[in-house]
Amino acid sequence: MRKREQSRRWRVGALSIACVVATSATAIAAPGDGDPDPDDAPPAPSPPADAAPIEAPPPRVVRPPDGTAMALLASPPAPAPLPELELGLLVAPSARMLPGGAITATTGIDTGGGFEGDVRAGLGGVAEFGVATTDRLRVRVCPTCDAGAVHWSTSARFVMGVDDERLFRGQPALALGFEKSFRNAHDARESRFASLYLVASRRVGRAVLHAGGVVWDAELVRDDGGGAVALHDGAFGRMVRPFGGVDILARERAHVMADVSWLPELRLDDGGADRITLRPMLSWGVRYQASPRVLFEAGARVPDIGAADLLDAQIFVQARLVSRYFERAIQRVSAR
Amino acid sequence: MPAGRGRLGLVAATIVVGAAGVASAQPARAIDVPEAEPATTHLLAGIDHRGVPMVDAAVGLGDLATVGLTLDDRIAVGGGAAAASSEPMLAAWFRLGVPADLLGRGAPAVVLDLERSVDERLRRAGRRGTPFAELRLLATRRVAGTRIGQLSLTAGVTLADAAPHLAPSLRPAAALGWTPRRYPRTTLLADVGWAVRVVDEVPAVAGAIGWGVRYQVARTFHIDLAVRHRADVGLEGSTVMVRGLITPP
Repeated sequence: MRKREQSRRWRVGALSIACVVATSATAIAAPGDGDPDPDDAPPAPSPPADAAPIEAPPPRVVRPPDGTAMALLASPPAPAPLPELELGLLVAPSARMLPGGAITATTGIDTGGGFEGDVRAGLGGVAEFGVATTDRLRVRVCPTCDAGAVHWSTSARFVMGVDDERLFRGQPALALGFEKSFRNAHDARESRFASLYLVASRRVGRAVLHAGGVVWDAELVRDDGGGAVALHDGAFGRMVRPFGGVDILARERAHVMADVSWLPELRLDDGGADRITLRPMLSWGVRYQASPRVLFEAGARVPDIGAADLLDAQIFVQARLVSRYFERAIQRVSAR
Repeated sequence: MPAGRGRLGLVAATIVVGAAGVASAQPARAIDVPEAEPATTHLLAGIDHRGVPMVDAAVGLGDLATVGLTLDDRIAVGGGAAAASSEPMLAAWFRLGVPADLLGRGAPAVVLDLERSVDERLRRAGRRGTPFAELRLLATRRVAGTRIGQLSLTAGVTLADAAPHLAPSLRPAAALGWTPRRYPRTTLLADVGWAVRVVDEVPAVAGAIGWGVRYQVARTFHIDLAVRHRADVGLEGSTVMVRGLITPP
């Protein structure tokens, strides 16, 4: 059983690392035709409103060696700038989704020895799909024990929504997301979780405010046939929680973020039986864009705010690679 | 190679690399108490008279935050208060704040600084170590005058915890750096802070006073000579340290 669990963890780890490496390769390879990526170029200064219109360059005439004009070639249209990438909060969900074709891969570590991996892809600007592995799910193996992490908890996520001002004036960005984990074997048990959330995001000056509600469910099954417990066994109110956060563009290319979210905590043999509770987590940190394709995030997480346990806090560092190769390719195809 | 030689080699390498530097940057730490510099990139490495090494490496992120990894030598572990000696522990820290003058003219720099030991994997591997964490809120104001030279004043509060658990209480911390006008390459340092000690597996917090001198050898390299006194071990338990500080441009 233990060997099977270890083997499965290795497979999940290898898959996550492969996803990160694949996205890195795509990010590094883009653009494939050798042209400089317009994203990398510094933004061109916009002309003043009263400036005279700039004359278009004359059409290029190709002359063969005999001197006769052969063809009149129009200059290829300059690609439109890609929309600004907004990546949401550190932990809590956000209604900011990736543009269609954009892919991000994130990998990080924390002071608890935890590993995070996350690969996301934008679908048409109205949806997002992702696979992640995280160590944020916590387990308390005895009532007086400190909570530890459930390592290599892997999940898939689908989000769909609409951007600001699409439905009515003043409408915030809205997203409905569903995240579901694969079965994870640990502590002679198997656990899995799922969450359904609705979140709104609204820009206010240099800040973006995020707020929403989540419905959590989780299940814990003993290997010895001792039964299963699930969060949905209790009242519905025990499964619903609010969450929110703020993201401030405090410096050029640097965002400061803070959020409060909720995560299940698995309590083993608590009062003679297993239990599952939801605990609030506070996160704060910074996202720094080192280049158009590489971002670094660092911060701190306090997994159980109510316990006020400083030793529970974790410091994390993660790198996020961004590939907009497919986004640009889609844009080129659409332009034709 | 003996461990002592390895440590001396590390310090020597730090000095050599640092002496080659050519640009200046602001150091962001007194003896033990950090200054409220939100973004700092530095490498600080040193050794004390008992041969205990310390290293502190930091990378600034976007003028707002710093993430660092340190081999912290402030933790004392032993079988009795008098026998407690420094045990370097690997820890990570994250600092987020606002630079000076951002919140208004003359406003000090303010940071929230969390340091936490990287312990779990080490403990599983059979290494020694006591999980500890420290949260600090610090403000620093720098003053320059034609008569006094440069003055850096830091004040704040700190909240420390160590396994199994300490009673939570806020404690003050302060640091002073003075660069006299006549000696622009020399900074006198002093700080008052708190350090965790673990005696017979029971954690406690003890006051610590540090003082010393920082000499600017090159534009990116400083050498610190410092002394740390701990309230729990008396004067004979004081520590003398030499450190090299690299602050790249």
